[in-house]
Amino acid sequence: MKAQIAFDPTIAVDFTEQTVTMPASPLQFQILFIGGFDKVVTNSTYGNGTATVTSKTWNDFIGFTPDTSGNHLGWVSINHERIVSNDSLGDGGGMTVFAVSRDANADTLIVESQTLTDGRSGEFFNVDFVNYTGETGMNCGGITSAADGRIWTAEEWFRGSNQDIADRDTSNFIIGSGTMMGQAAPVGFPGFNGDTIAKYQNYNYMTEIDPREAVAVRKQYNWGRQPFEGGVVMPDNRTVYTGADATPGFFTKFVADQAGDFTSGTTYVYKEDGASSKWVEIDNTDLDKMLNFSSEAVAVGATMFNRLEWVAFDAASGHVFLTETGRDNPGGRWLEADSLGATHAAHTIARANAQGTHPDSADYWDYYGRVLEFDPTSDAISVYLEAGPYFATSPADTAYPDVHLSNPDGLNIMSINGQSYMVICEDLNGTSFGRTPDGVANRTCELYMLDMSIANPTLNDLKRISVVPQGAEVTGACPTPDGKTLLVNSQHPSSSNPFPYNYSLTYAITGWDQAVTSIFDQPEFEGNRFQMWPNPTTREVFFNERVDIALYNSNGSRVRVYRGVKNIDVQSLPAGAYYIRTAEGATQKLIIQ
Amino acid sequence: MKKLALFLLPLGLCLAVGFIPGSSSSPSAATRMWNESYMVWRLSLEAMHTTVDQAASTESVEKLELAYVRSRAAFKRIEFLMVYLDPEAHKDYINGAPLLHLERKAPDLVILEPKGYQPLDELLYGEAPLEALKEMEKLIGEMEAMGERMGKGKGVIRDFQLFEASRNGLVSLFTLGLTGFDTPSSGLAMADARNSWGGMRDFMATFQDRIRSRDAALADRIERTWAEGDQVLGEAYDFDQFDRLHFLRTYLNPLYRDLLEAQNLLGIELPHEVNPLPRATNYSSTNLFAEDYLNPWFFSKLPANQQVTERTELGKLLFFDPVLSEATDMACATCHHPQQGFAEAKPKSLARGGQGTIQRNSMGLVNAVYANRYFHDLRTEQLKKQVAHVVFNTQEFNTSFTAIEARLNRSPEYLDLFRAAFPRHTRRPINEHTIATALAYYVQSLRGFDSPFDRYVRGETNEMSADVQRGFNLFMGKAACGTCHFAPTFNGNVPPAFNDTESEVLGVPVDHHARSLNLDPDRGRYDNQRPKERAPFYQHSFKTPTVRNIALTGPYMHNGAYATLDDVIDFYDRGGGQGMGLDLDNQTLPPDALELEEQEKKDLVAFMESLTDTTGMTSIPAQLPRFPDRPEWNQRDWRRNY
Repeated sequence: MKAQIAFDPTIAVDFTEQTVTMPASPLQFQILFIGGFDKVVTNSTYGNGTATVTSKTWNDFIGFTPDTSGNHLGWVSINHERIVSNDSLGDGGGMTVFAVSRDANADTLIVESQTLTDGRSGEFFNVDFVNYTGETGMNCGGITSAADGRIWTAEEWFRGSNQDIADRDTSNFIIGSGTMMGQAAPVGFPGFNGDTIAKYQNYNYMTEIDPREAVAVRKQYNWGRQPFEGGVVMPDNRTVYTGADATPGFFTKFVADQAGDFTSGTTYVYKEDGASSKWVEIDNTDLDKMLNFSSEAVAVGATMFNRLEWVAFDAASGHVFLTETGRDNPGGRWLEADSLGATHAAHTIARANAQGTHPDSADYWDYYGRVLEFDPTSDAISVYLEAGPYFATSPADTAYPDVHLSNPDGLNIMSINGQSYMVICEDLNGTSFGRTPDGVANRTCELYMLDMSIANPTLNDLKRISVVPQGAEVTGACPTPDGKTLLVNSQHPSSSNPFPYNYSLTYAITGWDQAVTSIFDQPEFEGNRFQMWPNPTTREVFFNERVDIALYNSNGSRVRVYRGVKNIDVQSLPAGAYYIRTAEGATQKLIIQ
Repeated sequence: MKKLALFLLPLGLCLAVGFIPGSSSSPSAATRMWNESYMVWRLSLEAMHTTVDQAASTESVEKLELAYVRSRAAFKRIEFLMVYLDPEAHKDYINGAPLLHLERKAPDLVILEPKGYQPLDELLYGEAPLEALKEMEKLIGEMEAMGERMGKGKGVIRDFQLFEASRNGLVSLFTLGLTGFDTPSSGLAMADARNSWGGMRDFMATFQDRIRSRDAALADRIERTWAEGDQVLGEAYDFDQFDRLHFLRTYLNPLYRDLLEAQNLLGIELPHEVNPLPRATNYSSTNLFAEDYLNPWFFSKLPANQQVTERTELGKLLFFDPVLSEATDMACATCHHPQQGFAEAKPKSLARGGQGTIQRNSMGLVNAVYANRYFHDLRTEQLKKQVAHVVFNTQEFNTSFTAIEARLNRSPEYLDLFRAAFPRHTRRPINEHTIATALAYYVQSLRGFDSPFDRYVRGETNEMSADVQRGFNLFMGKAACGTCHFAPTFNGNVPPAFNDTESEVLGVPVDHHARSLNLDPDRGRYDNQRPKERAPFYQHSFKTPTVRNIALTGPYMHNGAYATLDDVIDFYDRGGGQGMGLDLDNQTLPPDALELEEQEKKDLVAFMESLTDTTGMTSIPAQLPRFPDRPEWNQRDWRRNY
């Protein structure tokens, strides 16, 4: 038996055969908005006049609405997932909106001051739900229309009774003339105005907001009451696809009678095994059916998914992509719906078969989830990228892969220089079964990019991008239409990052039009001796072979040990000089700028 | 999630082979041992399954118990590695608490049934095992399936993993296993402890030659400690009589220290060199009861930067300053008195303006930093975030950060102190972030692990009265206190990761002196305004506070219903609210009487009273910053009888 190579805790650093420099990142990082810290301007709410107060927090979805007037670049809409009752901001989660312009010289974004039609002035504005739609729920995902940038926010966390809501006022709600804590919420819905619903039934809708005026527009009662997470409005400005974050979660479609008017049209639920059509209509003029959408979907035999999250539209292919984030043991969750007529997706059945079980069985597992592809022409759904991997059969290669994708959640498609890139955010459901490395119990959710020109992509085509503070969860990756900037939220960071990196942040990462191809650059090596190759954009150092190495600081003290790696991530290392020594004793200097 | 350093290998049912690319051409002895031991454990599950399938009579219950004991033995030998490699799967499927719990990260509230050994333990050693065969078969079958799944891809064990897993395993053995934490009904804790110890000993023996070649004395010491510890555990089959304190001082803590020394001696990388994410424990600490065993910065999430002193001292001024409250008559210290362990000697503190009382008992603040949730109902995370709940509470400060900011800005002294403490906040040095952060630094500074008991455990003194020693052994054994108040903080942070703060349902009555007992109507965690925790089993659930400084922090329980420690022990001795006849179906404290003798109760009190340490924490500011244009505020009184 041979011992594993131990690296000396300190080394002499006077001589190295070679120096490799990691240049500073070509991307620019900017903090635009600090959730729970920056002040927002509110409307008069619950008897409190317009006020400037600390915003809500846990930034999640980001929407971007282009300014066609050319005045600004556009408006940014931020969802807040953290539920707090507040007399000025309203109860529930909520949203913050602001306008940005692009600095002509530096290319960075500038948050603009605005005066809204209702008289509010400032930079950041609280979206008023109270006066328009009678509060909101937990605001997670949402929709940016591919047609014109209109914004809908998804009210997640499904509530089954008034017991489930922490609201102060649980009296019944009358659509169109409801009051919340004595204050009228006048925006209603054609056809349903005057109908009385229980308070909890006024949550869990796709709710349109106007980011230019920082007000809610209406709850989409006609799309059904569901635990929505994501959706797309197609370029025809009539067709809407939405996904629900539940097990079973359903994939739904709405087709407006007239382009741009989403108050009347037809609502469908997806049935993959449908004989003549894969879309089954659910009567959206029947409020009971809309309130109990899931039961209606089950009754018509709709296809069940295991937690649909975000939905994105790719202009290049015309296809729609969805994240199915997965749930460890979903069997018990969709067993009853299955018995009542709902059906399993073909890919679910195939997975269960491979596991030697049935999707309804307690043995069936779905630890990692996947990205699905929907073709609006054929109405077919297929697996675009299966997350994982899980080694049901061990790979021929003895090494663990460099990429492990678990529980994809946030999803967007960024068009950069005419080329489509998929942006995927993880939101780990757990740390077990390889979702974190052995011995690591912290959930670290990563951001990946994928060049969509690759046919039949695999996990190895994903590029991990280190862009948020340590321990933070990335959500809401949203590109600006000019392909230069990616807006991301880093939510509830769990480490002791210095202010403001310990808050829920909205960042702008700019420079993709210049740097995007470099993240996929392949390292180049010559000869057989140990070599390093830095990628400044992804902050990775690549090696020409799989190695055990130790990293020493400028004093020669060991600070990291990596075993069996082909590349390492130096994002979390402070700039400076380092030394890298291999198990064979070769030492090279690494300068991080 | 990127894998830092991990290899996967085929793992056949009969043959398990691993090797380490780049380092060695043959599997290490430890890797072979891991794969073989894992297989033995899986076979033990299979044997148990077969036995339960065949069980039909009382006689077969005995056979089933035998198969169960064998399976536990196989499991306990490798549990330390299973916990280390995949703590979540271990907790969810193999050895989690036998309680209902919530599915994590689910899109809605989903209540899950417990799985694994612990519910099995309760059924097999419960009143009617023969009636529970079906349930037991289900539990065993699920463990078998998980055993297969968890085993795949776990072929290679690295040196650094063995050291870290073993040192954590020692902590778990003492804080969980030996308290009976995971043997709710079978009482197999002592046998478990010996198997755990033996398993770790065998794995770590693979390093002995390498250690010996560099430091023979260290190798001898390690070998001797393993052997003597094994003997002591082997001789001690009586759970109630085992001298845990002696075991801790003589074997466990020294081994915990020596294994680190060996790891450093061999040049094997330390956890922070493999993964720099912060941890709750400080790996370089050499004693479970050392002052530096836990890492306060992990809990507070505060940066350990150059302004720690300035921020802590500013926080101290704010803590005692009534100018923070609307009527300038209430400070943090109004309800958190330094002389009372930063609690207040009232069941519930007076509300603002003396109008009634606040909702719950004032908690002590020494070592409060060691938690990931705050308030009795666990409504918020981090010290920094809890400040707002006092500021906005209409019964407490009844104000806002904006108002406080406006006030403090009137004091050039305060402004200077904020500037010095928060140099990055150039535009608005005084704001809700800096106010709350400074207070959090002060509360974080209130830490004490230098009580008479700590000094004795660490071996700094050999003087300790017999009643305290007996009391500790009762606390960790027969009285079962240590199964919820986990050492070394004796609060609800679950070892060995210490990153999860628990709450419990005890059934505390409104008034235990009352002729007819009534359950306190406070629903605790259920009403903490976190929709994702609104589960029925969280009704009347409250945070498990620390027992340290308990001599100072009475009265006790969330409602202050118990005035003395004797009362508290009596409450637990009777099995909590349910044991006293109250009707609640989700009590997490077993309703059975502990049957403590009078002397044992006194010993428990003596032990708890030996946990007092407020050294260097009780001073109050000599003066507070002044407000030149508000002379009336300069009259504010902060030097009360704290």
